[in-house]
Amino acid sequence: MIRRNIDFLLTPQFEHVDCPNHRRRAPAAQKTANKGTKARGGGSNVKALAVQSEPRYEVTVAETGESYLCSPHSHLLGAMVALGRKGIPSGCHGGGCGVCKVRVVAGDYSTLPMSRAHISPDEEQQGIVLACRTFPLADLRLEVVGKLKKAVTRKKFGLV
Amino acid sequence: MGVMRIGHINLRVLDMEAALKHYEGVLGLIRVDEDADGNVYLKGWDEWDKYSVILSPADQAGMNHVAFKVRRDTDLDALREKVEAYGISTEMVPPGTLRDCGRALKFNLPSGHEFYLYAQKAFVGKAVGVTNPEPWPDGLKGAGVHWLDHALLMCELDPEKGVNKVAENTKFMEEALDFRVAEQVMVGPDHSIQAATWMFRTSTPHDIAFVGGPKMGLHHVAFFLDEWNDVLKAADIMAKNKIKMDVTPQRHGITRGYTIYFFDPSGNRNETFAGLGYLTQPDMPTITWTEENLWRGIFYHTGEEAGEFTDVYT
Repeated sequence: MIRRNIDFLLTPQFEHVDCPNHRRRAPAAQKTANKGTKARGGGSNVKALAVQSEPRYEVTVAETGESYLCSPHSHLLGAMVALGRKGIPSGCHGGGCGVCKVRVVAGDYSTLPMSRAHISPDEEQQGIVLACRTFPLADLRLEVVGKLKKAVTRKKFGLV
Repeated sequence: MGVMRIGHINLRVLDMEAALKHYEGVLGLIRVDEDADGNVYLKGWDEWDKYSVILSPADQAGMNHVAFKVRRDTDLDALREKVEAYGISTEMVPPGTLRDCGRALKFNLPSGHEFYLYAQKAFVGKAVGVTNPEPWPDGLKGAGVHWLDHALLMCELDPEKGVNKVAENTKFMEEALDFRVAEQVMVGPDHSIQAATWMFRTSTPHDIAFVGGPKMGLHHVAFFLDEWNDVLKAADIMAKNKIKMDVTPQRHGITRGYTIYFFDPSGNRNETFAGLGYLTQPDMPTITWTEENLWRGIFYHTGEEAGEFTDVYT
C-alpha cells in the first residue's frame, strides 16, 4: 500500500515526537508504530525515553547493504545524511533536482509532491520515488536509481 | 537607454504553502498580490516596482522565465530590431500579459530560456518612503533580503559535440542587448572553451550568469544582503528553519561576493549574495579564470566543488 500527501508531514510541530497533535492526526503512522519500531536503548534518562517513543523504521539500501533508522517524520534522504551515511545521492532535498531517485522494492511509505520532470506517474506507480520526498511507514528496502555522473566519470572540461 | 536591470523571475513551485513560508518567512520577501491562476507575486523591501518574484504552482520545479526592465518604452522597439537582426524571433505581447506591466518583448535565449523585456511595471514604492527615509523598515521577516540580485542559468555545454550555449548566450547578450562580460571561465586544453560567464548592465559584477552543464535549467536565483554579518545571520535563520543549505557562508573569487547557497522547498537553488563586489563599467576589462582555478573562483576559501554544485539544479 502506498499512501500519499499526508498533510501532517508538512507541519513542523510534528518533528517534536511528544506533540499531542501528532497522535490525533497521524493514525496511519500510529497504526504501524508498534510493528516496525526499532526503538533502542533502555536508559533511565528522560531524553532517551522521549526518543524511544518515536517509531523508527529500518531503511536498507540494496546496493551497499547498508541500513539506517528513519522516523516517519524524516524523509529517507535527510535521515541518511543526518546519520553520516552514504548510498543515495544527495541534492536539493526538495523534490526538484531528481538526483536521489530510488525504487522502493519492499515496504509502505508516504510521499510529498515530486517534480514530474524526474518522476512520471508511471514510475510513481512502480514505486520509483525521490528519497527526499518519501517517508517510511514500515521497514523499507531501496534500490538507487539516480546516479550522479561525478561518481562514475571525471569531468573533462571543468564543468562538464 | 536600453536594458536597466533584472526585473523579475518566475519560479515554479511544487507546494505553494511551503514556498510562501520560505520566500516570505525565511528570505523576508513581501507578498504583494495573487492572481486567479494561483500565481503569487512578491518583492524585496528595497525594491520600488510592484514585484520581483512570481511563484507559480506547477508539477515541476525550475524557472518559467526571467524578465529585465528597459529604460523607455521605445527601447523595446529598438531592441526588438536588434534581437530579430541577430536571428532570434520575438513576440511583442500586449500590456497585462505580464501582470501590471506594459507591453513586453518575449523571446528565447539561444540556450532556450524564456526571456522578457518590459519598460513599465506598477510602482508601489518602499515602506520607508522617499522623504527623510529611515535606513530600513520595521517588521521585516527572516533574512530581510533587499532585492532580486541576479539569476544563474545552466546552459547546455558539450564541447565534443560542438555545443556551447554559454558562448552563444554570451555573444547574443553582448551584441543584441549590450551586456558586458565581467568575468569568464575558460576550459579545455588551450583554454579556448568559454564554459561560464558573468554579465552586467548595472554597475555590479553580474545581473545574469551562464554556466555550462549537461542540460538547460535554473542553477540559482540570488537576493541581495548588505554585508557579511547579514549573511551569517541569514545562515542562522536558515538553520533554525531547517533549510537545506549546500554552501554555508563563504566568499566567491568570481564577483568577490559573500554567499550562501540553499534550496527552496521545491528544490530551486537560492543564494543570498552580499557586497558590491566591485564597480563595473562598460570599459572594464574582462576577468578570466582558467580551468585549474575554476573552483577557487567559485568557492575562494575551499577551492573545490561543494556538494554537487554543478550537477544539482532545476
